[in-house]
Amino acid sequence: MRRLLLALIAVPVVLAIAGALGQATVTRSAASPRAHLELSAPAVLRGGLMWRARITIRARAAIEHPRIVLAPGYVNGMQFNTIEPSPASEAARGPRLVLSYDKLAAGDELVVYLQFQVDPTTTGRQDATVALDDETLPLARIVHTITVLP
Amino acid sequence: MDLVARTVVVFLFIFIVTRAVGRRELSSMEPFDLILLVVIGDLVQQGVTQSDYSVTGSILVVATIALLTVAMSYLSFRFRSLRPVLEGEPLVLVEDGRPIERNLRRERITVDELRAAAREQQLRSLEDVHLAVLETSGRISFIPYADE
Repeated sequence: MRRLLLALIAVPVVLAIAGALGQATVTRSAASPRAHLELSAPAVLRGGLMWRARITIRARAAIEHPRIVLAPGYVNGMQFNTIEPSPASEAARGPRLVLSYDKLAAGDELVVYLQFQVDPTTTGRQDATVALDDETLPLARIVHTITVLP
Repeated sequence: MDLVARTVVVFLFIFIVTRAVGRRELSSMEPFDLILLVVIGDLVQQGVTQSDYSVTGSILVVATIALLTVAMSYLSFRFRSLRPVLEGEPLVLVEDGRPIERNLRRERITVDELRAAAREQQLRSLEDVHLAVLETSGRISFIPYADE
């Protein structure tokens, strides 16, 4: 009986060592003829944790009005600490947040760091999809979800 | 992963600290020591959990500490050679009524403290003591001549 209880106690520790309980970073990417988009962010978080997302854009052709569109999961139940470099402007597109940057020439690379903290009361799955648009024309999209453990 | 790693590091550090501080100091706490212990606990908690306010985080830390405690206990039980390192060894402080200065110095115990501990065991003086042993728990066992 005691061994069984010990094994049960060991389960969360093993899961944590395997990175299943946060906050291991995963990298996903998407590409189109005009741009390559990469997202590096955790897939599992816990209440209160500070975390960062890194978004990399590599322009294959000129992008006149590069816009990063963030799904509501980046704002709902999260404290948005910083965005580096700061966008030229920010706007809302429905529940999504749109960050506008200056023109990228072919071959240019833009790396954006976003720093967050999870609200202690936040739990559940959050849509953390990132899209790259040229103004309103979709160029690339990465579907990502973040699970916040209680 | 990082939470488990921090817990393991702090657990091992606290283990080393308790082994270095000595048994006597830990078993006889003054009010100052008690307050210091609470302060250390708070500082350790900040270092281990940092900004993690989650129930999952708490479960992970408690589970890791529980497993490390069981592992230490098992190693001590299974490997006799590790016992002095993990638990320490009993230390003879008085033999045939005579305090052993070298061992008292090693544990930073004065003869007056030893006499006081003997009185607490209803022994009038150290001359009545056949053997006094500082146990691994930090308590001193007195074996008077009359018991033989």
